[in-house]
Amino acid sequence: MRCNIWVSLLFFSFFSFTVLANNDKPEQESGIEFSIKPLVCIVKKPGDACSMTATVSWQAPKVINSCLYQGITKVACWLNQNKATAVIEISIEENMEYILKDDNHHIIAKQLVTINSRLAKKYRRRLRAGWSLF
Amino acid sequence: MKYLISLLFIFSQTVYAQCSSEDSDCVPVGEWQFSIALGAGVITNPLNDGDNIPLVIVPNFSYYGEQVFIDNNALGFTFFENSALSFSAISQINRENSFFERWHPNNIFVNTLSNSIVSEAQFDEAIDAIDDTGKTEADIIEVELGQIQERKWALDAGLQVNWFFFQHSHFQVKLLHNVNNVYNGLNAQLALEQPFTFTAIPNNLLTLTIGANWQSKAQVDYYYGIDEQDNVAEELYYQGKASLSPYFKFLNQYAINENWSVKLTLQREWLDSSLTNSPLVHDDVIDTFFIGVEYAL
Repeated sequence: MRCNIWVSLLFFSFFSFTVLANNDKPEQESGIEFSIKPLVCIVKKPGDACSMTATVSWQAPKVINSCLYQGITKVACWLNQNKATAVIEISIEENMEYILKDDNHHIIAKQLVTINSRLAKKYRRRLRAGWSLF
Repeated sequence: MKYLISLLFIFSQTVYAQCSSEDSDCVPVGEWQFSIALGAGVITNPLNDGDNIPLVIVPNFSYYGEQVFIDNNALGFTFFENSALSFSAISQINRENSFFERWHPNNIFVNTLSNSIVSEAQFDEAIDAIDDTGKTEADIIEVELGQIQERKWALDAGLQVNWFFFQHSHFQVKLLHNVNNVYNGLNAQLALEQPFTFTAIPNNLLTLTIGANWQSKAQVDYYYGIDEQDNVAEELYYQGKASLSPYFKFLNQYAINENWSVKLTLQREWLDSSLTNSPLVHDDVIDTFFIGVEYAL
């Protein structure tokens, strides 16, 4: 009996994992191809804000209504289309997720735009002997 | 001084030592580092009637820019740095006056009730001892803090050299001169530091330091000398000589997580005879003890 419970738990865990994994890739489920180019924004030094022009394109197996969001902010919408390409201005201070949603507000695809700095964070040696008051 | 500063800028050359975020002795350039340690500890005061310095809340802060740095009580400008050596012009507050200050523990986070009871008992004991030996006050060749003229805080400036070698070994030399016209002399500090990590305790860092504090005759004389400006009998006058006091420090840090760590530090400094011969000085060592937790922002 105990053995059966463990088998059931194992099966349930595996099943849960599979469901979660599928939710992580909504475009696989909806069959949508979604891309943003470039996906990496290069800034001069760590902490700088990023501004760049990017090309967003998507293609769906059927005609849909959709909107593109930068985090929670709406950027662009398309009506009754099965593919689209748009040039958008990106202005972000940290890594940002761009989300494509259908007219029921379901996430159908997403992409992460990351910020990289040209100069890596610099480190230098501390010039003080140990932890001391004087 | 103006020419010295100009020269430092002209010849300044900074090549970053190989440093990474994983190294405990490395800090990010251009960022302030703050931490606060909370625990129990003390720096003993070697002076007659001197208050021990309580350590309950110990703040720690630093900022390292491309060349300028602030590290607790020190301000510095690094004009040459490579993977092994670093030369900096620094200015820092001199430690010695801390022993001449009245540290009121009651005002600095600690309840003094037990201290005052002990002091009273010690006082009675001392009176009894004097009575037993038949000595009078004149026989006691000690001078207490309340009897002498107030000593001032001194600001020093000079050269600091750091040498990094082997596996994180660190040798530091400071040669400083008083710049605010308090004692008008020199002092120097030497420290050899070696950190140790143990595979069995991966989050633990043990650092052992041996070093020495050198004080010029002018500094010893200003703080530990006694003359006509002090309100004591002429027989108690004392003229200081240069001193060299070695010390040993044990520091253990155990990181609980990214922000919290447990700290234990023990230090003993053996005072040179030119300091202990002063009628102001009662103990021949200065001990530092602290145990507590530290939170780094």
